[in-house]
Amino acid sequence: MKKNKFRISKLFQPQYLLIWILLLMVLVFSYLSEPFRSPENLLEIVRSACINAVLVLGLTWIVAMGEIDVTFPDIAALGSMVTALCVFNGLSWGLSILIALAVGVIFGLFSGVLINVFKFRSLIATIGVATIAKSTAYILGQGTPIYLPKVSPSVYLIVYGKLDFNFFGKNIGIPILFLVVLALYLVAAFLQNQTKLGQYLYALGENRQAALEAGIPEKPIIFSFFVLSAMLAAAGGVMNVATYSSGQPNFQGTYFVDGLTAVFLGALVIKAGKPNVIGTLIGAILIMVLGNAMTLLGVPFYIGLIIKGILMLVGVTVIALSKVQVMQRRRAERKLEGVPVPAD
Amino acid sequence: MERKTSKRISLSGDTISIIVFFLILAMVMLVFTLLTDKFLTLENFSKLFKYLSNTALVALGLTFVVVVGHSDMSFHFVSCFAAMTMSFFIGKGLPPIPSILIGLLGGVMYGVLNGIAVGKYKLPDMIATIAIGSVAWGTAYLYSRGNYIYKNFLTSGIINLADGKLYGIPYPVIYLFVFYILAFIVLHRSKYGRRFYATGSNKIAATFSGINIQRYIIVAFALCTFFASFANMLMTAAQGNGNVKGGLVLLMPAYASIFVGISVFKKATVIGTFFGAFLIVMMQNGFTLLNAPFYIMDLIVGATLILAIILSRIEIKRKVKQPSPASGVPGLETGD
Repeated sequence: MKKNKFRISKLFQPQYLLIWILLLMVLVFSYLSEPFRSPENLLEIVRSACINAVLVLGLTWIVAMGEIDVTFPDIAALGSMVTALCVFNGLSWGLSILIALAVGVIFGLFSGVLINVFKFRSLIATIGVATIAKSTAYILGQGTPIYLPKVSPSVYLIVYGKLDFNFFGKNIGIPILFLVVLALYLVAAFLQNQTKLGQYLYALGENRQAALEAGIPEKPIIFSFFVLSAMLAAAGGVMNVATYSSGQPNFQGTYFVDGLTAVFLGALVIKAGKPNVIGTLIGAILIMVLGNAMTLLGVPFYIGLIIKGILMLVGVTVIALSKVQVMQRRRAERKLEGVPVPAD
Repeated sequence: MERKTSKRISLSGDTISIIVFFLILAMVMLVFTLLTDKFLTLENFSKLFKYLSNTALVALGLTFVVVVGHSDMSFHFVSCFAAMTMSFFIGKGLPPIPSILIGLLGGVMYGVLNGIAVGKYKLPDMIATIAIGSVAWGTAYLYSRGNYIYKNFLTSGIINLADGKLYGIPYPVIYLFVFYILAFIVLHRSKYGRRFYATGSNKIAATFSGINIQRYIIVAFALCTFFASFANMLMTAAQGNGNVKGGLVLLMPAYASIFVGISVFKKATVIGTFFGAFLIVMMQNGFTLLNAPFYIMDLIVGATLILAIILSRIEIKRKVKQPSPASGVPGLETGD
């Protein structure tokens, strides 16, 4: 195997741009706002970013595969309503969460069947499934949220709990949720980078026809990822029950933009243009940093929408331009070697 | 002999799906008429068409984008920006027509941006439009920090945009038919329409046959946001206040209408979009008359969309299966 030499200049390549932007943002905001730079606040940002990160982990791979899934906010809403309804009717928390995840899986299967068996385009299939999931969430609560008197201590511990570490003589509570999500993402990164499944995934995204002719089992992969995505979205919804101690039927608006922004911004990191799990985690954290800092600085949240949109546009343009440069360089090399160049 | 019959079957296959669709439409109408006597009245139908004008106009704009082979995930955000721009200028005391024009200009500006990003710079349409949509939604908040704008709505005459009548026909219904007839002429009866379709089916072939595909993509995206903005203005005028989140409900029904239309006519067409929107809005109207709660509406949109496409897929499967045992002779289908 060829060894990649480490060069400082490598860190400034476009695929690491977003990490620099994140660091810069943290530095600037820390300078501007005293409450922002407290360790408690920074850890809280990471904790709340984790809920979004769970919500969009499956989506990352679906986008990498060249498909799209717009069901995640609605399935999260459904998951939260199902959990709240079950708990409200006296079921235990564990069972309620399992039922919510199962409902998520059913909706994922539904999307999968529509795409695989009935050959729907994924955008259309998921729009259909999303509207049904949203409506079901509303029907469960007859149009209103379901409020719960209290949240089970063990669920609360997972979402809000902290493990104390001694760090230079200071006690720092690392959120348990962050550790759980980090473990989840590391497993996901392993799946994505070290297994055949991950390679299949990107092959399908790169050239569907070639991937099919190479014998990649497209249908089972699509099926399993849509189910996984729906289940993780439902899990994100369950965590929201713990956060708000109620089931909310409406997750639209900012959840939708934030989720897709995390994935698409994440796509700009590391794999230059392709969604990947580590990138998504960074993207989710970046969005939370932005949101948190703006709240603390008293900037209205809608400025955040503009900034996120511009960041996404800049990122996509940088990637597109760098790809064009690579193409041109290759073309020039071919010309030097006398290989015939295909016309534009 | 064999050839003729197979041709007849394939011809009627296309018409069958259209006939089946209209049968379903008639059946839905019949069911609602039997269930409630409020359904088949002139008053209800004028209400239905007024509501249809929102969904159908948004879907009409999106049809152009789907025809050129892209998807737009920003028009509902952009429409919020345009409607808020209009409300802002109404609040500042400008007369309705200049306010509407400024609002539409704002909406079209974002559409052109979408078109340039997707058509000229070849950015992936989903990411680029969501990014631009996010910016557009953010800017929609700037006018009033997200608050409702009521000022001057009752006195300036903007209400007439949605509530006015010409010879007893509500204005929105007139906009609906004028824009649909214009779009039909452009898309199905002119060379420009053929160029839109050519851009959508094969970009390279379209370029080589001398079509400026960038221009057509930009125009398609601009039309999409234009119609979405106009529809949201109708909604704003009808509600009597500017609301930042008013347009967000436009996304799903627009896509559903187009794809119901595609499942019937096998490609995105103006007529297909119209009847897709009509089916969806009629079902929503019928269920409203039956006192169904508001949150059932999404279920109707989703279920109609999925059922329509599944039905059309079954149709295609049967059609594909039929000729295969008969056409044992190679080259049979290449004959005249």
